Amino acid sequence: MEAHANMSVGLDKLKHIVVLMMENRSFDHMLGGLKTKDPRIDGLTGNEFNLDTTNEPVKVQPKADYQGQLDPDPNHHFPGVDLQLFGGVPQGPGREANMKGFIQSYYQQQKNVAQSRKIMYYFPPEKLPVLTGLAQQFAVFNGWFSSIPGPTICNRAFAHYGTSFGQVGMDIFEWKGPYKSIYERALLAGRSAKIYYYDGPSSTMEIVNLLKNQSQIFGTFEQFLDDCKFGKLPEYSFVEPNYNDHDGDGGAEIASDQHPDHNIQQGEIFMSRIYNAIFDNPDLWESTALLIVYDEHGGIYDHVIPPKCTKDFLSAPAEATGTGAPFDFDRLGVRVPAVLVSPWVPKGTVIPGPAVSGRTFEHASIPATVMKFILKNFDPVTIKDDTTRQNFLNASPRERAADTFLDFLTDEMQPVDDCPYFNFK
Amino acid sequence: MARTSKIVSIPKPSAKSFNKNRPAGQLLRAQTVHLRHALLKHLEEIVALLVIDPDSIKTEGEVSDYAKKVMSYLHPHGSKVRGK
Repeated sequence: MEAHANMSVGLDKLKHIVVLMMENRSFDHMLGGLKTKDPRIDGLTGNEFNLDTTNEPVKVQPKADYQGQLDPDPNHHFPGVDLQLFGGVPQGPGREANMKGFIQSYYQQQKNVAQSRKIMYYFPPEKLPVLTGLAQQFAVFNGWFSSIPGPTICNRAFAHYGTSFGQVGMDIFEWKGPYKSIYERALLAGRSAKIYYYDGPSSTMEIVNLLKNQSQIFGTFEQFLDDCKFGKLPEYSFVEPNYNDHDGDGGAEIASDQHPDHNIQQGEIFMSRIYNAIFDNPDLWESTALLIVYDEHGGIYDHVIPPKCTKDFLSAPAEATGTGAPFDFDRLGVRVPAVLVSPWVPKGTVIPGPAVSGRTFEHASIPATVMKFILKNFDPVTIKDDTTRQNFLNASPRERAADTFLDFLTDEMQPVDDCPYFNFK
Repeated sequence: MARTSKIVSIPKPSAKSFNKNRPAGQLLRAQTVHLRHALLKHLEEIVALLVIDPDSIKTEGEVSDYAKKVMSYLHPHGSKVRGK
């Protein structure tokens, strides 16, 4: 097979990007145990530790359970994450992150030493056959970080807009120009893009700006499955899991987002349903790249210090951060699991992270990658109206600086027979 | 039938995992605030349509414009302009 000049066969064949964004788990918690199987994976040696509030060193342990351990929900708001990263060293010049404050942070919620130690637990790989299976079969990122050391809404905003418009919390944020969402930009280029939320009772986390102004870009998970089956998948799809337990037409719908303290196995089933739906359609399988990523770490331990990054175009004031200092969006949040699935990715790819002068990814990498995908065969000059063209091309400083991930698609396709299929019935 | 023989079985969560009475966390509580905010915008738009006096609508263009806006709430998926 031949590709266009400077383009791999896999990239040449790419017609669809699908992103599944899960909730609130750190890299080490979900994938750290893989280091024992593959030392290239920047996971856990077993010697990483934090001091608890009795000054006792507490090492990471492979004791994570599917449900029931992380209740209450560990703090992952901006001041809480600041404590987790900097170990309680107050704001000031020369302060260095050390990843030593996770137990301290969790202790503050219940003043329970035994409970606070559980923040160091991680999953043995065999307990997560879908996520760890896909990570080992396709590509795992050693250096994918949440965009902000803070909670869900602002982190997800980076996946949609390449910025959170100065927000570091969960408040409603209104769109502030000039950066349009990646869905709106795709539509301006005549491309198709959709956010698939699970169902009505689960709704979407991208409500205020897009749902009220651009409802045509939304669909349900049921539609996603049909669109995969009937070859109608848009060029870019963002899939949201089920965020809550509720009654469905077919019985109990268990939350699948893996947010503590939701059931991890249900999230594994959800991932496998998406993977299987793509795999089941041979044309789709050969022309789709699926990224599974988590929005943020949820207050759970990870050993890699989040790197500094390009500042965004707005700052968050001290009263918004709650740490006594403003934030320029010049540091990434805690590392999260990220796995790239495509038959064009060589089996067992491990993408080095910043710890070994590798590459750094964050959620702004998502719109940056989708734009690159659109531009592979689209000339913006064809947009005649200057304002529309500018709306299409404008990208936040963080998005402009973000690394992209389509170069991991190669000329060689993994044999279908060697790829997994998940049975969850 | 699967296109591969490499079948991986995944365990299901126990029935006890389902708990509608679990207290909603901060994320879900924030979601309800966002939902309400988004609804408010629609309410404002609906109120703006309700205050239009039907007697003030004189032309076919005005009727179609009004109908299109109303239909966007009554039947969102059917309110598009039909192309040639």
